[in-house]
Amino acid sequence: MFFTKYNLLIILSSPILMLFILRIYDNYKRKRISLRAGILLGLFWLILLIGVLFNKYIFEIILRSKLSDSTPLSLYDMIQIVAIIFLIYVSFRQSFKIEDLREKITKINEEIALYKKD
Amino acid sequence: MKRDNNKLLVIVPAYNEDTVIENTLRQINKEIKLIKNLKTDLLVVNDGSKDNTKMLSKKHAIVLSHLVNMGSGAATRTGLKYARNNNYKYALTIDADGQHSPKDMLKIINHLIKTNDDLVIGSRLINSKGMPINRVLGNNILNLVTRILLGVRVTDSQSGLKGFSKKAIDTIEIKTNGYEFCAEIIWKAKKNNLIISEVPIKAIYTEYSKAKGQSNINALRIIKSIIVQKIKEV
Repeated sequence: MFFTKYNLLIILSSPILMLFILRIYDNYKRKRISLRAGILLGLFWLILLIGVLFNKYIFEIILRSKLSDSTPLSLYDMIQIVAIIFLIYVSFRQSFKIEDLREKITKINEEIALYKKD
Repeated sequence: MKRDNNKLLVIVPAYNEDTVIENTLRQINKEIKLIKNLKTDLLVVNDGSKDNTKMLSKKHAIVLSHLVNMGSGAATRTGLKYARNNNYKYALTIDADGQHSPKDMLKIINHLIKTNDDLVIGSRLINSKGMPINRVLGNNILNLVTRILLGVRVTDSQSGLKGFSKKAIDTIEIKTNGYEFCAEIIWKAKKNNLIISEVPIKAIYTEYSKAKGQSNINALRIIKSIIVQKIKEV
């Protein structure tokens, strides 16, 4: 059966993760972030993507190692994981936007002050 | 002081300081007159004050005004940029709240001229007598954080009284807007291989300056900001 909960988690989460990796690349191309910051952020999201792609094996390892006494991945767990990934994505995006705006406002403020000496 | 036809800019970042600003500027101007060999200008960077700071400062200094309040780091950056644009050889920052003795300003300037040092920090903690114990503790914690995270060892990383050489004016680019700019300046100076030194100064704590100055809660914000800056640098 293709539509297992494990596959659903991949279908729902991986586009968000891939979108974020693409945005990091785009931000690097537009020189909004440095190469090192891009690599670091890219690696972070890539690890999450790998985790999602191999979620079945990870959950099996966790269960085998008795790190979790819960039953195998439930539908509720799956929704929660997708929601958490989405929220992390939104918060990262917002913080980038706020930082970008802060820098622009600061620059405008500074230029006006230097240009318009009282 | 040796004879030199160079220019010095004294930068006073100010936000809602109309209670004390005139007195502070008068005292600074009095000391400035004692500097015979440098053409010295006094600049107030009014950081979006809502009171009469701007009007009162205009009587005593050149005034640059931010439209909105951005923080003391942003105000200092504007002041240093003014110094860079107008080719000042030395710049000095001093708090507007009267916490520093303008006489100490001369110590910093003399040290800048006599040595080849690029960043001279007026340290309140070399002799911390008269400084409230909570401030001593908070500042020492920040010094430790600055040392661990930024690898710079100074006795007063948060001092507002600092002297800059031309090289420091041209190379130090402040990115942060808040109080964390103090640690950032020291960090950037170290990164650019500038010579950093400290001169003991006296801190004057009045009820006003205690209320206006940094609280220990601010110290937590500064630590957070230093960590963020460090991550960004990665």
